[in-house]
Amino acid sequence: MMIKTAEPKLKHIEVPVLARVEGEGALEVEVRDSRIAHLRLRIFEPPRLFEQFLVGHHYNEIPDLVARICGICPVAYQMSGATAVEHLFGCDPGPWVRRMRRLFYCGEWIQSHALHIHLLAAPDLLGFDSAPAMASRYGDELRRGLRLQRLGNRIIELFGARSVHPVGARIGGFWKAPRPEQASSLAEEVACAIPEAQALVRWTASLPLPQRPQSFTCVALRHPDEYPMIAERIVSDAGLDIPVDAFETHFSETQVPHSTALHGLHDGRPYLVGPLARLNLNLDRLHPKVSTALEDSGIRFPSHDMHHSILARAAEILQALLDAAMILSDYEARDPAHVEVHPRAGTGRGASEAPRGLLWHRYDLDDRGLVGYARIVPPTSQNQPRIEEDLRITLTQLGLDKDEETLRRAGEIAIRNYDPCISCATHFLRLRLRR
Amino acid sequence: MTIIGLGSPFGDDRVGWRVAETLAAKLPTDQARVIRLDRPGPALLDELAGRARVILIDAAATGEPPGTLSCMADAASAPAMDRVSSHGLGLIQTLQLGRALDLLPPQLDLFLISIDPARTRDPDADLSDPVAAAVAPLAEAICRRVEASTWRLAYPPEKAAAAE
Repeated sequence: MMIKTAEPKLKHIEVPVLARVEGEGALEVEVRDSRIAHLRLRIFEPPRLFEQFLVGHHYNEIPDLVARICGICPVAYQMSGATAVEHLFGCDPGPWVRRMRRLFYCGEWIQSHALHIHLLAAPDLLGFDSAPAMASRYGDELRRGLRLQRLGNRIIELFGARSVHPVGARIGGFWKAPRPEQASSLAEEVACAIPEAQALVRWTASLPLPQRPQSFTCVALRHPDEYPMIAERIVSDAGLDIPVDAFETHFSETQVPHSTALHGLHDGRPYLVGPLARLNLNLDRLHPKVSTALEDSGIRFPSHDMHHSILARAAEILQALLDAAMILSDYEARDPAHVEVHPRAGTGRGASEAPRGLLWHRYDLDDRGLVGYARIVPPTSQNQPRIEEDLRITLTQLGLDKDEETLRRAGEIAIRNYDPCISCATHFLRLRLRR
Repeated sequence: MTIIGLGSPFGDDRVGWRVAETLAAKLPTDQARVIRLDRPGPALLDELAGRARVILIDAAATGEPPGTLSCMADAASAPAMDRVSSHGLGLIQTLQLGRALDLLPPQLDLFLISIDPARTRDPDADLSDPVAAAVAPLAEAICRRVEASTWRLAYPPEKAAAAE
């Protein structure tokens, strides 16, 4: 028997927390009179600790510190953090930095979504225990997925020097521009991957997706022209349209005793962030080739069926590759690769679309540029009430009299659609059922 | 020949890196490519794919006393007990995925150094004595293996490159 030791970046955390890092969530369901009386999902949510770590640090340290929050989506944390500080300083990093940040972010969407689709969601949907078990029948699809993931990582490495916890981003832009020859060799790889992503969209649409639409509010960023990655407005399909600065007025977070994650609510109600919400609210911002691929899939968007999240992820991989190809096609290096900022004290807020959804940051800086207060609202905590709501509906529709294994598996599939941080483990859910 | 030390900067979990560093100092670069990785998962498969011969070195909680050395010749067949990480695949699962996708090198040896997981929580801690004592013997054993295969270098350079 062999047990790999736990992930390095998490080992310094106290033992009670470490236990929850080990890829497990716990779901407690209490059934009374054939109805769910209580349903509680426990998830580990790391960024809360980071908010305090950031206090007392200089604003220049924010991009490198927040990159450590997540090994899958460090770029998102860097981009939300840098944008928040630049908002406070009244700094516009200019078109070159904006384009390069988009390219950097494309890499993260591609690698994160490719990992989720192929190694996490597809085995569930196809009835396999794990990706290795699925490999004998779906080897070509998995190889394609790994190729896409690798390409996403390579785009991140172009700016960040490494794909995990990249170090190239800074307030105002980047430390260094990639050399043109690096960009042109990557451009060729990106161009070759576009047909693969189109095939991926077709494949995800052909998966046996259960059809169970539910009613919920979608929330995402909205950009005047682009499919949103870094943007200034937050919109919902219930008519919300606010600047990122007004987030705290409309969105609240509540501490619940059963989870380390805060529960996010929009006007007191659960809501959805993430690829499906983003797609539903930004269909008119898609590249025409992505729109065509979705039309050809036969699945209609906007969709309120969470099982269509996998298709939304595939569509976003295609979108990100098309964007990356366009940005790389006329790449020119810049030196310096950042703009100078003019610091001032005050409060800065910024947001970007992490692969898993809206990621909102706030920093209060003093006149020395030190963080006095930090608030980070990650996608998983925003989605947690929605996941619990989904689980109540899904398990009730399935039949609460079903055996525990059936209920656990349905619960895992439902949770996996949201791609919360715990979902990477093969069997991450412990179900405690009281009837 | 590629030699990969897996590990992290945390106490005894760094032993895979330490062995890799020892080997990098001992072996000429034309004899072995020695790298250090911080986690298994798809990034490890990238390093394994297309290689002829790879040696992997990692710390493991095997239940044996710390510092105990073991070698798994067919690691991809081991039962996957290592689903610890919340953000990726464990080592055995990664190797299983690699085997299923036909990405593994024809010759893949996995060397494990037993550690106590309790000694992996301090980022400043150096290796514990029994684990540190295992570094030199393992590095020497791997050196002997590498040197035993140096006949490959008698080939003309292009064939040697093809063999590796």
